[in-house]
Amino acid sequence: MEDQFIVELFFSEPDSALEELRSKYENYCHTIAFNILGNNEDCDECVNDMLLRVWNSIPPNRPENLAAYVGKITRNLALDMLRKTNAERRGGGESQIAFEELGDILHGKNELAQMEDSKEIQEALNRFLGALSKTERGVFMRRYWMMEPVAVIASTYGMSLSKASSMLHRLRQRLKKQLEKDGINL
Amino acid sequence: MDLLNEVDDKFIQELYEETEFSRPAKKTSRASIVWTRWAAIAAAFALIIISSVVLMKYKSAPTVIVPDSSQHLNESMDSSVVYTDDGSPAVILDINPSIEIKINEENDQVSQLVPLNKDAEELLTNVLMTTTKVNDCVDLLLTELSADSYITPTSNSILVTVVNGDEQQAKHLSDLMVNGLQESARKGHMSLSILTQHLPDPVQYGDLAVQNEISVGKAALISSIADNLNATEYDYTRLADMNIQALNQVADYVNTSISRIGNVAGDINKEQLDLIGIASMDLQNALQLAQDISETYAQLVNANPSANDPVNYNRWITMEQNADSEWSLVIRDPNSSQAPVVFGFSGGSSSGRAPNIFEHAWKGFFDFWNAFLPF
Repeated sequence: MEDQFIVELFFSEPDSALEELRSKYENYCHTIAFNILGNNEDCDECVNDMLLRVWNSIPPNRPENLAAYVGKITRNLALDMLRKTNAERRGGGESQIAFEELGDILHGKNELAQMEDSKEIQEALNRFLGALSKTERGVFMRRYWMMEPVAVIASTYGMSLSKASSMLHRLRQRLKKQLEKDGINL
Repeated sequence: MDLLNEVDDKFIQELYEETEFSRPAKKTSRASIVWTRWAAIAAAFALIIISSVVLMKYKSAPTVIVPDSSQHLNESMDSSVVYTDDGSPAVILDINPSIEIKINEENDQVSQLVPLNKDAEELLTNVLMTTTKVNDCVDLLLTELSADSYITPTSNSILVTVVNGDEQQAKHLSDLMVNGLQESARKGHMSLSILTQHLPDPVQYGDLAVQNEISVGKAALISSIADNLNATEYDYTRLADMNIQALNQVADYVNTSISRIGNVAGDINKEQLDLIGIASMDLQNALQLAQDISETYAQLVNANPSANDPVNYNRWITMEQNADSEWSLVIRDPNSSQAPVVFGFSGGSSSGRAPNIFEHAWKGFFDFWNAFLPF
């Protein structure tokens, strides 16, 4: 079913809409959650929480891009769950490693400075992503938005592990240069 | 604060659309959970072993040498080195970046990468070299060269030079490198033009290389071109300033004996060359013309990528002779009913005269071309 119909269905038949949403996006959200949390039980909980949150938010919200909407909610929920888990014990799937890789660039700033620059950085980040080739953008997004392991990314694009690692390394350097060029002090 | 969560929705949509998401794994029974625990322990051990292998792999990755800090380099100038001077066989790749690749003869693994100029130094800082396999190293380098626009559809030339060693060693190393480049190019849908040469005694090109701050490989290529032109006062500096793409074209126009695999981009055909009479021009004019063709071709393709298609190229640019045996350069857009633009010049093979006329012809072509552009 088309996304816009699913959204409209939430306004008339929310139960059916939720089933349609689950049918279309469960695997996608599960994958996002699994990359972050690394175990199926937490992922199931995360996907259920996502469905609840969507149920509560549509209406009144009417998202234009449903894939991005549910993806972002799932990602946020999974990261929240990971933080709670990490407060008790160290660990946390690919996300920990992915965050560390980007640490010097996007997560190295103190919180106050981040708040001041966040909009500027987001715009610069979107410009950076928009200027990449489709493959480069896919590799970057899979690693740092979807938190996929590098080996999985390499396999997806039919490249060697070292080539995927090298491409990510180069993309981080380019992002850093772009942010510096845009006057964002890191 | 996770800024990546706020990326533009269209990038997430793109990611979603290009991916097939598999069904989540089924929940397991209690018995299988017990089994899974043991499997997890086994997996942990496997992970430790794999990590060790990966770490060893990283550890054994080729050394990237920074010339300024190297003691054993033949460092002859502030900004670049011509090649490492230990007498063992090595391969030099020249594009504009010049990189020396040391290969262990016993196992054909890359042991060192040495940047020979600033461009190469910058390039190598962006490459995370995690492998010693020749093909993988070459693949990483070519990816970076392409990403930095050193290799493009209009600039597809690479010079492979083997320094030192005997003929057999040189052929082996050259084949290793060329095969690696070709395999990588195939994967990346690139079309390369690879020049290969062997310098058993690279020292003889040392002075020329040092004087012009280029690699010995490029110095040897320049000598090969200039010698073939039988020139007495050729301008080495001018040749040294050209990149490998332009030198490859010049080498083709003047029929050097250097070995080439794959056509050089922007090459005008032999018939046109013969009519222009490049072989009988003096060196200055020949070089000027070759360089103009190289630059003009790049502009042409940038304005309209479909012109890069050989079929289009040969339909749009032709040489035609009139009843008085005068040659003209004729340019027509085959998709347009507009009359062709004809640039006439007679005596095209006369020394010193043809390049100027040809230059005007190209300018006219671009005036004509611009009339078709929507901006």
